[in-house]
Amino acid sequence: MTIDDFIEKFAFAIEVEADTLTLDIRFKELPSWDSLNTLAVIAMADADYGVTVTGRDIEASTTVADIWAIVSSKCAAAK
Amino acid sequence: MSIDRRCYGDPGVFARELETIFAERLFAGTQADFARPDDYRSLRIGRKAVTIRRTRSGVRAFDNVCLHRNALIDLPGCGNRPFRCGYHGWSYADDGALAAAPLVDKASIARCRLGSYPVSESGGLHFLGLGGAAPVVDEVAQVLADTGVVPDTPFHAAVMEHACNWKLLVENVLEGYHLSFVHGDSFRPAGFTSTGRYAWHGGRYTSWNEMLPADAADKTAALRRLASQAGHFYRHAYVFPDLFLSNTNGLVGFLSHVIPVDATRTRLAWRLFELPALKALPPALRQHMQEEAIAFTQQALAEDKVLVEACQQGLEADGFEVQLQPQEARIAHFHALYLARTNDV
Ligand code: FES
Ligand SMILES: [Fe+2]
Repeated sequence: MTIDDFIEKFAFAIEVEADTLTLDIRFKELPSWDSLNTLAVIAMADADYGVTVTGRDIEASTTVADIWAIVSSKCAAAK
Repeated sequence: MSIDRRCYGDPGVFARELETIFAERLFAGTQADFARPDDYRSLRIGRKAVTIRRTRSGVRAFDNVCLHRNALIDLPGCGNRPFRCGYHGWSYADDGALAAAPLVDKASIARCRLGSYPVSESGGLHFLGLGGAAPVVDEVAQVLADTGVVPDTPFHAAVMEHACNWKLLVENVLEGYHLSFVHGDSFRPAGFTSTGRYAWHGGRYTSWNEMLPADAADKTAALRRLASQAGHFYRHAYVFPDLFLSNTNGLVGFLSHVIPVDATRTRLAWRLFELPALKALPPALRQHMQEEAIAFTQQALAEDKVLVEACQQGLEADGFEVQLQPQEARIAHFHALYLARTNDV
């Protein structure tokens, strides 16, 4: 479970190129961002990491790093 | 021919609508409302108070006014309780007969059976025949199949009051023409606009339509990635006179029905439920979609309320007969159903 791995999965979920995404990107400001992306991120966290990210988590997050912090801490807590 | 504009506020017309239109078929509840014995839904329409109950001999409907001193036997709303009046404990059997009445003088009891009404069921939906004939429901299964609506236990239910005639609420949901103008914070961002692709069909007492987004706004691929059974569409069904069902993207189901209070006041009871494709998704996704669907529906209904109430006010002022447009074919269909039953009441 690495950051690079996460960025790749996040990029795939929201349908952008992985190399355009960095941890400090404010993902909700991406032109392609829409409410379906919220669902895709929830689905990705569930399928790839086995953790529950909620709509509220995403709402409260600004950057990709914020989501990574939520996912990685939930993974750690689940161990 | 359209419904005369005077039919939208006249108490005499309203009274005759209750006797004809609403006596023919009235939404009574879903399978989920009557899952267990003694589940009931009690409602008031015009001067009728009726309770619909799951008895040992199926779902039955009875007058809900106690034979003793007229208390409502089941209080308004729904729940699960024995068929017994809460005031002095008179209780009723599965056929509406008085079964037990504590401390009574038997000789004083002249009436010992509640009136009853036929109930028809199709596709998990129950309908009441207040006029005494079993409501015809032979188109219901098809309209459910055509729209992909599978009624289920709601995850949210609410009631909204409207200061307008019931027919305005019906007409409002039978066209997509107003979407771009009225629904800037609900349907439009969801991809559904006044110019979206639209197909419809009308039957003898049902109609349905499908709305698709414009190509540029089509999110079918992204939705299918989330759930292979999903799509990007909005399908809507109407069962004359009071019931609406819809299917958003193959994921969220919506059921609402109008409850006419008087000629210019109407209650809209609505509920949301998961369609099978949504039920198959991970809990976090289901949770989020449910929350989104509740917020979307509250928003859309609030947006509509302003306009249907504006129509009521316009109808109460001097004005002209409606000028229906081709996009409003389902309204014309509704008017034809109405006029065929009322002979222009
Ligand atoms: S009013 Fe119902 S038992 Fe008395
Ligand atoms: Fe609307």
